[in-house]
Amino acid sequence: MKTIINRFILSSLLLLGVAACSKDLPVDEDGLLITTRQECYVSNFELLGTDQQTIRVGNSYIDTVAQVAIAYVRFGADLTKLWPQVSLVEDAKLSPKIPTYDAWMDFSGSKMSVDFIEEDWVGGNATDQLSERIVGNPSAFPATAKKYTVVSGDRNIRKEYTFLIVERPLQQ
Amino acid sequence: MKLRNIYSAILLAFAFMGVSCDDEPVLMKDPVTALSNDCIKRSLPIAPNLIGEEIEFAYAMAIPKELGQLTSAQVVASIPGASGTYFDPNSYHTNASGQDVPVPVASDSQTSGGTTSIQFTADTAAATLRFYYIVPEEARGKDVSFKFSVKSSNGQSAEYDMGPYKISNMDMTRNLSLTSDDECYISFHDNTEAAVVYSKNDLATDPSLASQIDLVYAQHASADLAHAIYAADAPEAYRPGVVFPSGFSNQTKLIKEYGLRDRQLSNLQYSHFIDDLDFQQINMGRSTNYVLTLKEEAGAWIETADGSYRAFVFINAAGADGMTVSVKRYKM
Repeated sequence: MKTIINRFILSSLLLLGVAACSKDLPVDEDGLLITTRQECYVSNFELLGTDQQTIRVGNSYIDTVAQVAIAYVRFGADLTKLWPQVSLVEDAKLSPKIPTYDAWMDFSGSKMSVDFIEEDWVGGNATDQLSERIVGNPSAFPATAKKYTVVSGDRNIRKEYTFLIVERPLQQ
Repeated sequence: MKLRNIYSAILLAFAFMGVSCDDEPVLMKDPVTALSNDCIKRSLPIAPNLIGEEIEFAYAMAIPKELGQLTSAQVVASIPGASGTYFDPNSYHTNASGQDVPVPVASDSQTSGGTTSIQFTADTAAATLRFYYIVPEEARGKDVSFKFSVKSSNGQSAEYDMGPYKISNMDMTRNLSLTSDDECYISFHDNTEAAVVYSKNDLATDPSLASQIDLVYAQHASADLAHAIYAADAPEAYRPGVVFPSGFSNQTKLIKEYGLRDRQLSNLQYSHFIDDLDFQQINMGRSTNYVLTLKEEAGAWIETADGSYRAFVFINAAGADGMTVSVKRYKM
């Protein structure tokens, strides 16, 4: 009886081990897991100045359907030396990569000049009205705007996002 | 069997007793039979040694009471210290509440050339004296070392070598006050000071100063601009109401920083120091020609238009009536 129980426990442990091992996912060239996730979108867009402080005002606006991310920045913020940070859905990758060291880059090509109207800015923050108007007119996007491609966890879906910067008018 | 166990237990107990009884005090080292000395550098070891600033040492001397007493002490610096170099004639002890209490043990120190000496006046067999070395201009970029020595009444003497210590090339000027539209012109081209501030009046009396100006400071009511500094090529859109003086043409390079709290500039508790090496290695490639929204504990790296100086400006205070800044400057 005892040996039977022992054998049963041993074999079930073995089975468990096999099950655990079978979940091993392939690893890509960067040492990141290639998973089964098919989500593919940008969740946040951050811009840091040379002092490592954000230059944004309010939240970035991200339209995952139109594949556009807009950062609203303080008046006068220098755009030629910025460190961008793009948050993605789990397991996704960005292409081209943003370096982890000395990633300062010129983002001034992404700056959009917008003719503001009433209700575009409330309490110093951009309203959805403004964001939606910008996204609704892709022909006005600067040709030099930065573009990054999001690659999903299973590496099969690629979506190109356009990154725009809108400077807030001088606040009194 | 059982009996043997008891015997061995008793034997063991005796053996322990034999060990435990052997507790006569033992000297860790040989007894001190001569004049001896020791020295530490009290200034932080990682802090750059700057021209005009002090380096502090504590020099301890002692002789067994039956051999005699201390008579004199001296220190020889390889480069004579600037005026203000001295031995503190007090020996200190710390009281119960943690305060250093001075006890005068010697006459005032005499400095001639690189030698600073002191004569003991109190009948003392042990003392710790503090030595303050003011770094002279001659030591810029060089190494300086110190030889401490002490003599006692029985004719013995002892020596202690300290150093060498590297003296930095850079200059430092602290607590410069800037006010918008008045004391607002900053120059890093002065011969002795790391930075000087010219006022509108200075410029009116001597218009040639304009060529010396590297940056213009301005304070704006808008929080988007607030405290700002501009080089001559700063975009006009970002400096509303700021009129540059005629002749101001230096296209100074700026890199905004935040939270780089150099201990010597900020006088805060953080053990961060900007040294010559930082100025040599910083990549000024990511520079701009204006910096907005400066606040307390922010700062900026600077390179003058002619590339002859690099500097770091630390904002000590930024309030309603201007800024107070401290500057370290390195000649390239």
